[in-house]
Amino acid sequence: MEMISSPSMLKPIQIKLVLLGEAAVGKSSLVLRFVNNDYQENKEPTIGAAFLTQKCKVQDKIIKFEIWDTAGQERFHSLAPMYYRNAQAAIVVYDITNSDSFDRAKSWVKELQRQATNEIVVALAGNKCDLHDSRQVESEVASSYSSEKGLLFLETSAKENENVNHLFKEIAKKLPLESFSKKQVEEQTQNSINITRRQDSSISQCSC
Amino acid sequence: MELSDFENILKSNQTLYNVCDEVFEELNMDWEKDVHVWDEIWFMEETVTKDNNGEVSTASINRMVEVLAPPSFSDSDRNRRRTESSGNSYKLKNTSTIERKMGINENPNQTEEKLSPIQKIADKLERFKVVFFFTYKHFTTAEVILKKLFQRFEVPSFVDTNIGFNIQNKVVENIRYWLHAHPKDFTNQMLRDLEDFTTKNMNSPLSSLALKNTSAIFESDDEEEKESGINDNINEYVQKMKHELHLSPYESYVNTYFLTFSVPGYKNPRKALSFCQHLLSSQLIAKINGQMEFSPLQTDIYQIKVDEKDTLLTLNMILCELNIYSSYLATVEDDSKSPILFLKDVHDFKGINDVKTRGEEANTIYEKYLTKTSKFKINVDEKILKGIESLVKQSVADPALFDEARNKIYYELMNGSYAQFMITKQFKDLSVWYLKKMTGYSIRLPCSRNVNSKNYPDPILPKGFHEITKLNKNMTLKVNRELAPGVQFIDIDDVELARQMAIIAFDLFVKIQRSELLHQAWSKPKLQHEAPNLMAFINRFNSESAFLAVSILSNTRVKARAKVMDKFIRIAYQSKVLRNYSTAFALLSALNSASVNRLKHTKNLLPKPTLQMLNELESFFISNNNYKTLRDALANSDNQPTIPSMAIYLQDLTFIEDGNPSKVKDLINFEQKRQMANVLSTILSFQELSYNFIKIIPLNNLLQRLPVANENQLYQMSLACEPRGADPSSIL
Repeated sequence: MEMISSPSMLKPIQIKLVLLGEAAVGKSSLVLRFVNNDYQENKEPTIGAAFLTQKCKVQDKIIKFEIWDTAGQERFHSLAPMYYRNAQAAIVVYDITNSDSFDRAKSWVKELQRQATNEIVVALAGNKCDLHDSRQVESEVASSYSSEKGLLFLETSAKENENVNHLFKEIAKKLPLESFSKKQVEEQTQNSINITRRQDSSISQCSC
Repeated sequence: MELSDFENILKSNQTLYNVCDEVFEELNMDWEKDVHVWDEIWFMEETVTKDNNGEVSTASINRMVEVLAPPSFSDSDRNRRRTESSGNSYKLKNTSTIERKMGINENPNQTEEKLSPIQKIADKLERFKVVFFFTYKHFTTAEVILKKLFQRFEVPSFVDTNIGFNIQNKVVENIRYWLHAHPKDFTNQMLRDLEDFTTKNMNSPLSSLALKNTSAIFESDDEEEKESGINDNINEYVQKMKHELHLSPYESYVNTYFLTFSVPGYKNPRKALSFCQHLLSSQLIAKINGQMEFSPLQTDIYQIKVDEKDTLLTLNMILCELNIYSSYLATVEDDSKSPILFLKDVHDFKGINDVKTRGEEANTIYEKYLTKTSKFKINVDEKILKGIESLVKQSVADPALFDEARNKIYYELMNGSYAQFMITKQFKDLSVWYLKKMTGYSIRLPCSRNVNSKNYPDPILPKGFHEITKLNKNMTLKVNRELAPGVQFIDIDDVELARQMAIIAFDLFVKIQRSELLHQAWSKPKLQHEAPNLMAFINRFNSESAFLAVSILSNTRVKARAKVMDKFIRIAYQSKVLRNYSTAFALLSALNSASVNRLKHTKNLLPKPTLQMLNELESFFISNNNYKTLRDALANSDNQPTIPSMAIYLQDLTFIEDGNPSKVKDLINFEQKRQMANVLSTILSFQELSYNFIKIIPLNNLLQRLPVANENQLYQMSLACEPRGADPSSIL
C-alpha cells in the first residue's frame, strides 16, 4: 500500500484499457474487483455506468487506467472497433469453464492484432479459475496459445480475488510508458465526467 | 379523416351520440389526477408473487422496475410522478393472512358463493392493500415509509387544491389502514411521529378524524364487534347512495367500500367514482398503447367481481369502443352494424328492472335479431338460438337471457372486423379524443406519425424515379418499377438514403418492449428468445455495418471504393443529422473495423468535405467521458424523432444490474431498481415520436435486405483490395 502525497507526482499517465469477451465471462466482475476492492455495503450502493478508472503506481509513475467494459454490448459485433481503437491495452476475457468463450476470445485476439497500427498490449485472462471442477479450457492450451501470439496470460478469479491486481500490474509493466507520458503532457486538460460517483477510487487500493 | 369529422358523424347519429354523452358525463366528474398511488397498488396486487421462502420473486421485482418507469401520460405528469413517487410500507407479521386471501383468488367458486357482492369487493381491495404493504416492506423500512407518507402529505402549493386534498386523503387512508391492521409495525417513536403529524395537520378535518377513528378501532379488542359495526355502516351507505345520490348499485358498493376505510360522515362519496374512472382510463390507455389485450366481457383485469348486471364499468368500456367502431362503420358504409346494435340492445335490456317490460323487450330483441326473417339478423349457432327461443316463448325474461349470444357475437367482433379496426390509426386517434373528453388527459401516442403534421417532406429522387404513382394510405410511395435501369444505389441522394434507413431502423426500434430490456436477456443465449425485438434491432445494427464493409470492399478499383466510402460517410453524416444515431454509429464503427480501416489508398482519395464530415462523426461518437457528446445530444431531443444508440443503454443496464448488489441488508436495493427504471423510460421515450418520411418501396426493399459477411471474409477481401505493403502505384 502506497499513498501518493506529493503533488508533483499527481500527473498520471492515462491509459485506455478495453475489456473484450463473450457475455457472462466475468468482465465486469474483474473490473469491479480491481476498482472497488474496498467495496462496502450501504455506502452509495449503486453505480450507474460502465466507465471506471483506477490509478496504479508503476516505476515511479502513476498510471490512470480508464477502463472500458463492453459488458452488455457483446451482440453489437461491429461495435468493438470503437473501443479498441486508440486503446493502449486490452484484456480479452474468457471463462475457463466454457470452451466456446475461449474460441470467441481467440477471434478477438485475431481482430485486435489486425489493427497493426496500434502498439496495443493484449492480455488474455482465463476467468473463473476457482471453478476447477468444471474446467473446459486447459491452462496449458491457453498458455501456449498466448506465447505463440505474444500475449500476456493469466488465469484469474474475480470471485476469489486471484490474480486480478496482478493482471493489471503486468499490463502496466508492459506498456511503453515513456512514449505515453511525453504524448500526454499536452493532453492533460481533459477532465472526465464523474458519472460513476466513485470513479476515482483511492490509489492506495492498488497494490501494484 | 380529421377528428372533427368523427365528431360530426357522432352528432349526426343522435342515439349514438346520446349514449356516448351519457357515458362521458358519468366519467367526467371529479377526475382525480393523482393516480400513481393507485397505479402502484394495482401493480402490486396484480403481480406480486412469492417464492417458496416467502421472498418476493424475481419476476415481481422486474415488474417493479417496469412500473417504476410508468407509462406516459403527459410529460409534466411523468415528471411529477418521478418526483413524487410515494412509498408505503407495511411489515406483515401474519403471512397466513396473505395466503388465505390468495387462496380466495385461486378457488373462486368455493368461496364466492358465500360472500355478498360487497364482501367480494371488500375482500379484493383488502387483499391489494395487504399485498401492497407486504411488497413495499421488502424495499425499505417502516420508518422510511412513514416519512415518505408524511412528505407526500405536504403537497406542493402549485398543485391544484382538489388534487392536493385527494392526495392527502389517500395518505391518511393508507396510514390509517396500516395502523389499524398491523399496529406492531409502529414503534413508539413512529407513533409519536404520527401524533406530531396529525396534530400539525389538524386543520385538515379528514386527517384528524380519520386518525382518531383509527385509534378508536385500534384500542378496541373485540374483533366481532368491529366487523359488525362496519357491516352496518356499509348497508347504511349503500342505501343512502342509491336513494339520495341516484347511484347504480355497483357505484354504491364501490363508494361504500371506500367509505368504510374512511370516517363515518365522510362527505365525498364521489371519491370512489374517481377510482372507477381511473380504472377505465388506465385500461383504455393501455389498450391504445397496445400494452394490454383484454376482453371486456370477461371479468376485467382487476377482477372486481360483482353481479354481472352491475358491471357498469365493463359495459361502459365496451360502449366506448363500440361507439368508436360504429362511427367508423358509418364512414365506410359497411352494412355489418347488426352485431353492434344487438350488443347495445342487450345492454339496455339488462338494465330493465321491471319484469314485464323486460319480457316485452326480450321479444323485441328476439324478433329484431334472431329469427330467420329478422332485419338485423345476427349469426349465432343453432343451439344457443333454440335455447333463447324456448325461453322467450315461455316468457321467461331473465336478464342473462341473451348473454351467451352476446358473448359469442362479441368474440366474433373481437376476432374479425372489429379487431381489425382496433389496430388502425383511426381507432387510436379517436380514442385519444375520447380519453381527453373523459379525463382531461392529453396523451401522446407512441409511434404515431405526427397526427397534425401533413408536412411529409418530398422524397428526393433521381431521374430514373420519375414515374411516381400516388402516395397510398400508408404513406408509402410505389414506384412503377424496381430500381430503374441505370439508377445505382450511389446515384440516390444521401438524405433520401438516410431517411429510408431511418424508417427501417425506427420500425424495428419501436417494437422493443420494456420487458426485453430486463435481466440482460439480449446477451444471454438462453434468454434471447425473451428479447426477440431487441435482438432484431441489434442484428440490424450489425448488418448495417456489414453493408458498408461489403459495399466498399466488393469494388476492386480504388476509385470506385473511394466513391462508395464517400457515399457511406455522407449517409452516416445525414443519419446523424436525422438523429438516427444507431445507423450513424453502426456505419462509423464499420469504417473503423480492421478490414475497412486499413484501406489507406482508398481513404487518400476522399474529398475534403467528406473528411470534414468524418471528423465530425468521430468526435461526436467519441467514447470520452462515457460518450458525453452523444448522451448530451440524446438528452436534448427537442421533440425531434430520435433513434438512440442502444449499445450505450444496454451497457448501462448491464452495469447497473451487475455492478451493484441486488439487496442491501435484506432489503431490495431500491436505488438500483430505480436507476434501471430510469434507463428503461429514457429508451422507451424515444419510441413516442416517429419519422414522417415517405417510404419508397424499391429503395426500402433494397435496404431491408442487406448483405451478410463475417469478419474473416471481409478481411480477406480487404487484403485482396490493398495487399499488405503494396506499392501505391500498384493499386488500381
